[in-house]
Amino acid sequence: MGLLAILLAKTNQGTFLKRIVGKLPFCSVLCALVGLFLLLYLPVDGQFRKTYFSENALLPHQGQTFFRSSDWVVVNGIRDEIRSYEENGMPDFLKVGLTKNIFEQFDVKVYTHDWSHADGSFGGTNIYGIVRATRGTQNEAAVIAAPWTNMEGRFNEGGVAVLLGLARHFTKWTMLHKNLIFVIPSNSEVALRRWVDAYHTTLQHTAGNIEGAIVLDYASSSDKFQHIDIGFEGLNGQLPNLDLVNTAGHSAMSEFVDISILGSHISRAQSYSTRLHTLFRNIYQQAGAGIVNDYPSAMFSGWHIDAITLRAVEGNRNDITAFGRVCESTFRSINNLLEHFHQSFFFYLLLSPVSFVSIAQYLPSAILVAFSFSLMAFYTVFTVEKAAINSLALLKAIFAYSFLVLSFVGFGYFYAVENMELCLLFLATLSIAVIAIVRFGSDAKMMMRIVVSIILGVLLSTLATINFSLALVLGILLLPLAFVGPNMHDKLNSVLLMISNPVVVTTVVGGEAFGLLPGEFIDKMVEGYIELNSWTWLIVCAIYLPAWTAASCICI
Amino acid sequence: MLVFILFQLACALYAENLDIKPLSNNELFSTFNFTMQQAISPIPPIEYSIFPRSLGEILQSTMTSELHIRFGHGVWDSDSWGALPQNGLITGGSGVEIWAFISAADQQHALRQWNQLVNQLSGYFCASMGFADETVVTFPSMQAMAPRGGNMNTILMRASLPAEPVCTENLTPFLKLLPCRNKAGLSTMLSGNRVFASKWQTMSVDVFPFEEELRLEQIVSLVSDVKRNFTDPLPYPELETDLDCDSYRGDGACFPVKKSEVAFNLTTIFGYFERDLCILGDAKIKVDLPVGWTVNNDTKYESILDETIPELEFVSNGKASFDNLPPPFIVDRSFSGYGMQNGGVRVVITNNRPYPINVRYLESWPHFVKLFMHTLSLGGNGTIVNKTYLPSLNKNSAFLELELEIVDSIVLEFEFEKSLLLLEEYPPDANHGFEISPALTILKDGDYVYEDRTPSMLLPLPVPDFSMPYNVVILTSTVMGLAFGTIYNLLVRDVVPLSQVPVHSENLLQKVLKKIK
Repeated sequence: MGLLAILLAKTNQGTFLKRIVGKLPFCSVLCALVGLFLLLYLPVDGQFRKTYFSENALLPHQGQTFFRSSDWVVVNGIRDEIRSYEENGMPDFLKVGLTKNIFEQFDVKVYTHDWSHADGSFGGTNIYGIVRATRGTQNEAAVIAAPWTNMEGRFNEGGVAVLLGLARHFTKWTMLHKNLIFVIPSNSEVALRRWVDAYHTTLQHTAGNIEGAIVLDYASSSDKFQHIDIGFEGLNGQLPNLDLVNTAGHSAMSEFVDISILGSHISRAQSYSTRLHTLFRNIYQQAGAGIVNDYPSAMFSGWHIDAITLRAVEGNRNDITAFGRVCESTFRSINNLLEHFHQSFFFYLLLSPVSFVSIAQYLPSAILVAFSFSLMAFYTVFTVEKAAINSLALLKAIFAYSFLVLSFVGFGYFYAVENMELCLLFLATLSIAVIAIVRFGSDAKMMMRIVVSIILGVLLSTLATINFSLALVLGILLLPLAFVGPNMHDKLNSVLLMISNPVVVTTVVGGEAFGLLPGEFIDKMVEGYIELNSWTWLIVCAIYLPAWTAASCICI
Repeated sequence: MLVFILFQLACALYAENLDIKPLSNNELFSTFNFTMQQAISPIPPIEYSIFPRSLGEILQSTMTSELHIRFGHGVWDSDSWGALPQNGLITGGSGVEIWAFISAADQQHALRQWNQLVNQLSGYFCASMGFADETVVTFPSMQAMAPRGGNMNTILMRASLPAEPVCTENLTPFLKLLPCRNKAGLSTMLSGNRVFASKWQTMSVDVFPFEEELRLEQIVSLVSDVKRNFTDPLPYPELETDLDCDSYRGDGACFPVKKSEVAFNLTTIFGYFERDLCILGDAKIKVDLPVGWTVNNDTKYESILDETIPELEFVSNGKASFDNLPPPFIVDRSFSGYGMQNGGVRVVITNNRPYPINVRYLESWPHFVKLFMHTLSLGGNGTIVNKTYLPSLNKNSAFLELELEIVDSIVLEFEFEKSLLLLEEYPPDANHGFEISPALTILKDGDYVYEDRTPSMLLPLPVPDFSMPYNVVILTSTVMGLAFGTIYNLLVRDVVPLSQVPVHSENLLQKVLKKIK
């Protein structure tokens, strides 16, 4: 207390505060830089932890795996069969009928689910079979899914064959506790998402709560694969429990199959640069979830389901039944669970298949970036003339900004649902808001600058706790706006506004990160919102667009 | 003495029945029915002969005139197997279900009797029936579940424990009720590892007055997977030569085809068993054969056994055809809704009959599920004739009974809110979710009664982080510490303007030096 009293006394004398305030823009830049540096520092030895199992009941790979020898022959036979459907260019309804028939050969109850796009047009038919657990209460289930085409649109030949082989294999089991649902959606994104939605709303034949899901992706006609790549990022910043990712990794390593995370490096070769690369892969996948390149396991997001994707990478180290055994072993661990996944971490970044950083270690970097906005808000508060700070101007600024945000969100929403009349209406209210802000007096403009900075700081740090990567990326993209204001240099203003311009950002980010043209990039975000219920588009409309518009208006 | 025992036995009746029916997909349905009946004098002391004395005394002491217990697991696949055996009257939902008709002055009295009854049965059947206390028990109407003995002057109470795992330890006391235990008779065919490896299984115990006598019916029904009985219980990969392949496939590839119907006998299904009969009653085996099947080279088999249980050889010509009667209606119940706070239920009842049917739909909900009856909506083609809803009071279960008229199919939907429990109310495996009892649907059409139970459901509740109390203690202490420091400082310190601060006073060393001087 003594220290605080002295500090207060010193600031009252006036020198201390002035000195600090003068340094605030510098502190703000420093804050953002430290945030980014912290991120780079995470993969350094000693900063991350080795993964471990929190849930004792999982017992990963504690038993002998049985999917081998004659199952290889069966998988081969099934693969020849489904390959012939694809090579003969069979129409979808025939393919569905014949695949259903394969399930029926093993006495698996099989059902279909017709799905449609958000606009109501027919999309396709998903097939799913249910293997009932002999010993169990019939109200818990696990899902094994293999989309007919994988995330790159290639025919998922091995995946579907292994899935059917496993369906046959698990009918022989008498000691299962959880029901098993085998799903073959017609594609890896919307079709699977619709099935998951339907399972929880309208499907008549269900098998209990889904406790975990494994998606198989083996899009090659070869009998051999090099290693397994594990995909786990969900939509809207959701991640499966770290225990599930560990279980899959441990099962694979016990079968002598190498693993990698999100298409990065395999577990055996690790260095600072590979860990950094994997870290950026995590951020890339999480921030870009629901836009493009989603692992199919992301489609289970939002229903309290932990899901991962197992992806076979081409090569010739392991044979196809090893892929099936990894899936078998992972499912058996899920089957062992007495409770829903809850023990381990739900927020983490994986640096390699066996090392991770938890939220407490990585969150500061996004928060520091967000804090640099707050610092600039303080700077503005302390530097404007006392006369400019009046409650009327502040109210004007808050009201105008809320109006702007609402207009953008309304515009974004109705643009997405293709309701053009309401979309135009919100465009009109948007222009009213813009004109109003441009015509503001200098004190209101100053207040607007404070409001924008404070709101950005608060929103970005809140978003960081839910979706770290998106908050970090938005924070970096919006950072120039922290230094834009009517009291700043005109040239600096125009340069900063240019860098953070939506056109520039969509072109650069869409082109560099996803290889998409700006128009396509926006379409994909909108599609993600409409078809997959990913919030990225609305977040962009609610945070990024109003902030940039307000910042540019006050500089005019 | 011997004469007396023989006289007693003459007044009693004991019968054993086994019904067997092959189903499609290499499955076999079998029902073991054990019936005991005995005159009971209304004035104590009661002489027991066939009827188990231990059970009789429990019923006597709790004034229970009728008792029905069901143990069940698995899901009945009505698409392939048709209607439930005996119109579903012997079937239980998953877990344990128990209902009784108790003679009592009022509900309070009945509840006391009930608590005594379930606690005694709990030890008796090695099942946690003691948990069927006043928070779980419901009072359905007698229109829905009429007493089989016809004594309407009683109070009906029903409870189900869906989380109860049914296993061998429940079968053993079940068999001990039989006069020959499982030492002789058809009951020797019931071994735990075979019964509980079945795809669907139910055990029932019914005690009720019947023609002035007391009758005990014990039934075990199961659907076994015939193929599994030929292989190791561990799913080792079969030999390549044992695979059933499509004939067009070449080397190293086998497109598996449906396994043809395999021949089997009683030993392959039930394992080795004693072939002696129980001398206390008649035993009868009846086989209901579909077209294409033979037993011991005959197309039908029905026999009252005389000396031993014969071996029955079941052979199919591979072209068997099954015609199972479909159930009169099908019920599907599932959760809808998104997130941890709110939820919804969706019930679809499909009428398989060409004319409208009238069913009663009964379900009970634990107190932490707050049902919103105003959200109850009815879709499809049908009406709600009658609605009884007893909301949850005092941590009791809420009870819903609907009488529905269904033309072809209806969709019932309603919403609920999940509430947080008190910390000590959470079970040790709180993250498992909470089991919701199966819903019971009853169709009554004149004398025809059909019952169907949905599978239980698992409701995930919001669960607190159980390490939270610890964190809260730490945080609170820190905040308290900080606040205390500040306030203490303000209270104890003198606040003096800077100008009035006394000019630099002497330090300790100077004071000491002064003293010395």
